[in-house]
Amino acid sequence: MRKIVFLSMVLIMVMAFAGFVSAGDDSEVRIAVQVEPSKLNPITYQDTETGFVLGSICDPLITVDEDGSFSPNNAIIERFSVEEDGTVITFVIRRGIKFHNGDPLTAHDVKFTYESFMDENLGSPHHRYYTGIEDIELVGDYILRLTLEETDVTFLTLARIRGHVLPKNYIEEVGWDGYERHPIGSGPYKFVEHVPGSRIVLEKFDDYWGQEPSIDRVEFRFYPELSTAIMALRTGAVDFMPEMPADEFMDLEATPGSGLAFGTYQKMEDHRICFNKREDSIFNDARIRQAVAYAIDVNELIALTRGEMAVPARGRVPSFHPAFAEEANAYELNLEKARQLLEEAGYPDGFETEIFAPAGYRERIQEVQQIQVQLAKIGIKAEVVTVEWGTYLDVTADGEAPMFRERWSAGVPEPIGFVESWHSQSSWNPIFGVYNNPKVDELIDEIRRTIDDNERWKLYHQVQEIAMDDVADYPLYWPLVGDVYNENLHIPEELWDPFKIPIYYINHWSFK
Amino acid sequence: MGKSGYVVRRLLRTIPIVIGVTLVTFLILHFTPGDPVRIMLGPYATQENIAILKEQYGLDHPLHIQYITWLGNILQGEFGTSIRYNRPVLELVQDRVGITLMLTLSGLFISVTLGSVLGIFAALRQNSWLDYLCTFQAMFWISIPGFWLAIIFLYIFGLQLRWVPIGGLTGFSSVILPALVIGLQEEAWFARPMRAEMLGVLNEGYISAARAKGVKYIRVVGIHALRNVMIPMITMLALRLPWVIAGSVVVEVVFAWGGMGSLLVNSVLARDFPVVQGILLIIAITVVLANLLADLVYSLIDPRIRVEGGKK
Repeated sequence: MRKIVFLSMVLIMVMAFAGFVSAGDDSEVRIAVQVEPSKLNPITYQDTETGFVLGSICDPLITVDEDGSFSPNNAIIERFSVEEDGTVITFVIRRGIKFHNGDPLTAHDVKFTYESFMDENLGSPHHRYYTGIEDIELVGDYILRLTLEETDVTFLTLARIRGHVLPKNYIEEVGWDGYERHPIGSGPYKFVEHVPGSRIVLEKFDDYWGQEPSIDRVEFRFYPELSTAIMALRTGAVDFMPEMPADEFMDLEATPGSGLAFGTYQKMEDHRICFNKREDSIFNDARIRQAVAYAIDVNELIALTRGEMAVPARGRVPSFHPAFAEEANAYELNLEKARQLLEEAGYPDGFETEIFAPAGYRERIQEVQQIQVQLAKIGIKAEVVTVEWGTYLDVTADGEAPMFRERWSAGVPEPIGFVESWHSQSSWNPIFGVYNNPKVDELIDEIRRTIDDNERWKLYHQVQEIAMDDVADYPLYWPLVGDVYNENLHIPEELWDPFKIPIYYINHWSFK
Repeated sequence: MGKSGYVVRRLLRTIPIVIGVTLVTFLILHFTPGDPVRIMLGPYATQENIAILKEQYGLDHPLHIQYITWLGNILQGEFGTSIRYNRPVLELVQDRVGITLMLTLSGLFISVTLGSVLGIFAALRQNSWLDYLCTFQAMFWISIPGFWLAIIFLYIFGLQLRWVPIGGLTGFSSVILPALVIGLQEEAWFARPMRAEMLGVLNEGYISAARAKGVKYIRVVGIHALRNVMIPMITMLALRLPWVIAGSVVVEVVFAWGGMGSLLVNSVLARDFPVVQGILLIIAITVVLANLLADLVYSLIDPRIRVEGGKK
């Protein structure tokens, strides 16, 4: 007995002595991410987390201002111009920018980056955005001229090399594998190490041309388990967590004395229900889709999963953007109308169907379960099917899922990503259940050719109104993204903006 | 044939076992829906992109060809390249194997020591409250799901008491909780047999004889009795090894350690066949070798046990 007491005392003492938890120091900011970046390759990456890390290592070609217009601020260009009906784009590169290995950044590097995205063998998922480039011409070492095959106003939004200008000489020297192991760029932080399964460490780049970072080191730590990440945040083991799930964000915000600060921004993203609209599907009939739209109570869904962290959607482009379609049908809850539509379509007593959500996405599953309850009120018995992510991608793309819960992010500032998949020739069209409306195709083609902003926004309004009448998809809401961070960390107000986003500007952060 | 012949034969026998393991995992993985290339490229990939990558990773060949190719490469020591990470599988494993090894060994160490000590105490005080307490606590830990225990421990010792850092491998203090979670969960497997064996041994004649001739009690238990209960303990150790490795997967994820366990989980989710196959192959070999080692250790501890084919 005495031995057990002794043993447990020894154990406790060891823990107490060993457990000196080091508090974060001012020269380092630690960022918690749930997913470990698979490979730090700007051409091929798919996960947002890789984008976070590369965002600090590389500099963007061009940025977007608060008002949604393109700008050279914080970008490697001094100025740019668009001529000849938008088919010729000229970039003038700033002089004196250095890569982390000391090489100067020139127009040759920008050209190389464009060519890498165009190279089919490198397998960029963005490859097809670059197929409209007819010619890339160097005008001296610091001017690059792109010529497009035809007017395409969406080009700069989609094909601005994902915000990463790559070092030509370095990559030619070490190869892509070498680059993935030790990526370099011209950004405010340089890569130090990637400890697999644990962290990625970045260090201030002394020769950075832009705003000098006030924090010397950045550490991205991988916490696959969310509750561990939150505890780490609360103890100060990490200082910042981007994109906190809405319910946890609200819980933490309601906890007094947590020592944490909170920030939100709207995002170019919508959450929606997609339908398999192929001919053999019951949702081929627009009246059935309209009935579903009228039966879903979006406010109830938001209250359930997101609280204050979402705005009910009307059309697809978020309301902060001028392309927002104020006139589009939002299908406010109307069960009577829903039942009437079902009757017209020949299903007065409803029918049985399935609604899919990817397993492990708690929020989406809760929402489809709620939708299941809501649809039951008009007689639609929708079975909730959750399948693992890989399977989910397969079954939704192959038309095996009658209804499914999607999330979609679009590039900035041009919201073409929200409407593009409705075009019958789009490669995304079948992925979201096939939609075919010649008028919509025509309008989307016209959007690409219309240079005048106001004219173009009107076309966006029209195309959304038509697609919403058809219920091509049913948009639920636009989310607010919440970042949680150490209250001693100062993040400038202007970064909480859909066109900026704090994590891409760590060099503007400081400790109080 | 001497001992070495026995070892060689045992080693040869592991080959079909290991091949069987890889074949079964290969089939399970390939018949599970979900395409690694589609997962990697995301929902917005074009058919051409998918086709190019499939060809690159040899995923466009029929299943049996894929398996035979993989097996052939393994025999040449070539574990292939990860689809998700685009790096050699062996390199990925090398980076992480130390972490898993440390977790597994420290967990096993705690469970064996704690289990043995408590088992002996329980046996010496049979049917006392101490005995019941030992049984109760062993059952208590084993009944709690590992991930939940891990989170609760982190909450108490990390968040509330601030004794240990939260997540990551940052020195000795960060090892305690994960090792303790595995140790406590596995402890029952050693405490129970230890108690039962000890009870049996303590009733043996030679124990009474030893005590009668005046050997100190602690020496009787510690040397004479303990030596005789070592065999079942070693068997248990070898038997529990795969479970400890499995348990460390969960613990690694909660404590954000990033060892082989989390690599395995991520790879299964991404259908990263080469990595999953490689890791399972390594685990299978480890388990088979551990069992072989246990058999060999028996004869060291107890000279009465001769390895099969040895001199009688």
